[in-house]
Amino acid sequence: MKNNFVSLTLLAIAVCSLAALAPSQGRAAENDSRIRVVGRDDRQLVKIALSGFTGEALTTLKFDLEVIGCAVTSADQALFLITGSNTDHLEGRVQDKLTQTYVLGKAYPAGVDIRKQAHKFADDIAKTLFKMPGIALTKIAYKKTRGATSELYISDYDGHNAIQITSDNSIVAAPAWVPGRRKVYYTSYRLGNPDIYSQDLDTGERRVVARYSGLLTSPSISPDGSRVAMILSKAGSPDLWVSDASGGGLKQLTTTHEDESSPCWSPDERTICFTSRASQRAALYTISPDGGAMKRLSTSGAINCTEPDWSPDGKYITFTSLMGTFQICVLEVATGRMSILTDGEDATWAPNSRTLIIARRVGGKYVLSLLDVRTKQVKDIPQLSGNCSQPAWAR
Amino acid sequence: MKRSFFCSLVLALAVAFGGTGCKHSGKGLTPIPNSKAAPVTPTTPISATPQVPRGTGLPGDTNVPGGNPLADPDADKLKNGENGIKAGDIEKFQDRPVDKSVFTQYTVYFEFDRSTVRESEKSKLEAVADYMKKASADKDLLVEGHCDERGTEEYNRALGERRAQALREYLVNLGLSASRIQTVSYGKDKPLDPEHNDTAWSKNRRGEFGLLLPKP
Repeated sequence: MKNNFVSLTLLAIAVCSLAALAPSQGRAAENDSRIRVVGRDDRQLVKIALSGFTGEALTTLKFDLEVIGCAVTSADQALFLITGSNTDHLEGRVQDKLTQTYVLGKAYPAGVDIRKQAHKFADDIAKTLFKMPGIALTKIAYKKTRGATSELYISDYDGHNAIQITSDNSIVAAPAWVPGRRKVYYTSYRLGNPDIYSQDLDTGERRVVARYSGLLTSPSISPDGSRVAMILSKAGSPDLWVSDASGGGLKQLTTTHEDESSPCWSPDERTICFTSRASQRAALYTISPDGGAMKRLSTSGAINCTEPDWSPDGKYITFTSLMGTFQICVLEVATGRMSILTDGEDATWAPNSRTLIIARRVGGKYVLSLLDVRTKQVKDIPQLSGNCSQPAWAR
Repeated sequence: MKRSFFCSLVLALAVAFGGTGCKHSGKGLTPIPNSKAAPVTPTTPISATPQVPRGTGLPGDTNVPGGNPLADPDADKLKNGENGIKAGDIEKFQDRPVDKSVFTQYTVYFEFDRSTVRESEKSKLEAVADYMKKASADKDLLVEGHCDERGTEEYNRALGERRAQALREYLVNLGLSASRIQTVSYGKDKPLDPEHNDTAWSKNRRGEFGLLLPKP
């Protein structure tokens, strides 16, 4: 613990003192027109060149930057030159080739895993060039299926440091994070019935959130962590219910005879979006978590819409549409504009509201991939072997 | 009127019991080691994990609080309401051996993305209902709902449950007591045929039955 504190302090000192490496950083970030070119509206891959990095630092940095919409090219084609070194610790600079100015310079303390140093540098680049929060140090949860059973795993977003967190020799499903906490909710068939559990990742302590007859699945935790939306069939049909975080104070929100599935919360917690077959075909609906009528959400031509997830900035809802094959779609909430992005299913948003993690069917199994919504660039996560699905991004 | 009173009662009890929780730690679970030792600040601030109240849970894996279970005296009368037939008592079905061999020829198949019982499948349900009516009262029926792979995982989990409940409703209408029928959905987790073609899909969209035997 003390060591960590020292590391953090060192990191802070290092970052502050090395700001001197890039004397023009502040001015460049505010005034440089090149930086606005790679801003939020740009749909082109941003060409960068990497030099000086080796081994794991290089592969990590390259992966992180490609995920957020960069393409690694030769120096003469690149807009930005990223140079540095990683002997003992990682140092890196970003130079805008057009203006010949350094826009970022950072060094990271030795003694920290080199992958983490590279991730941190990638995050600093994301903040500087893209004006968006970094995601390279975030975690994901997913289901891994082996034969007839599946278990829940947690890993870094790039698949490294995977840890199996259930060993129930049963089926698990639908992992969901408590926002801002090291805690997940999920469904497990460990007692025969699909029941909903919560599990603290630090202590390993597991608690029952809901256990009734029938289907109990798709937990989704409100942004403030106080409520859970979920699908229960105890009233006779899979319906949308909400409860407090422990599963108490249950309230039934929908009463259709057909089934509801996969709820998600708007960031302002005033709306829950979910799938219903109320009109015989899967479509997206919204409802207030306090109750009321469910409203059909227009998805502009996309049909069989399932597995919605609301972006943390509130602007977009991603969902899966079945149109011959599964397609990942994004709906802009304010305008109703819908885009079809790529093959895949079951997308969830990263904290940056720009990257999605999706499941793709390859051969007889699922693989997880990262999708940059703006450029539509897809990066597989080669580190994850086996049959992995139902990804959930910690945010 | 009676129904709404009963619903209120269930809700009130759910609220009353909702605060308790059952702790499960250790067995089968892996805490992430050294997790607080991440030397790099996370993207979102992580607040301290609140203390879980100790001693509020009941002992053992199977005693699970959280609002149910209540025996439902009106379960059989509530059929075909707006919502369906209420689920039964989960503890009654817990840990019971299942014999699926009795009903292998009565597996019911569904149309793509549908949960309605087809005309061609109704005789199977009549046979299952007849069998159960003659079976001793300590035997119950498990109904499993399954889907083909042309639906996302959670969507299929809900559709599979809807299929199982459609079968349950049909059996109740044939005179079987709802309190003897347990449903479970596996979505697309347990395909009968792992292939990716029409033949496999039509085999995988199914409802299977199992005879729940008394606890040994």
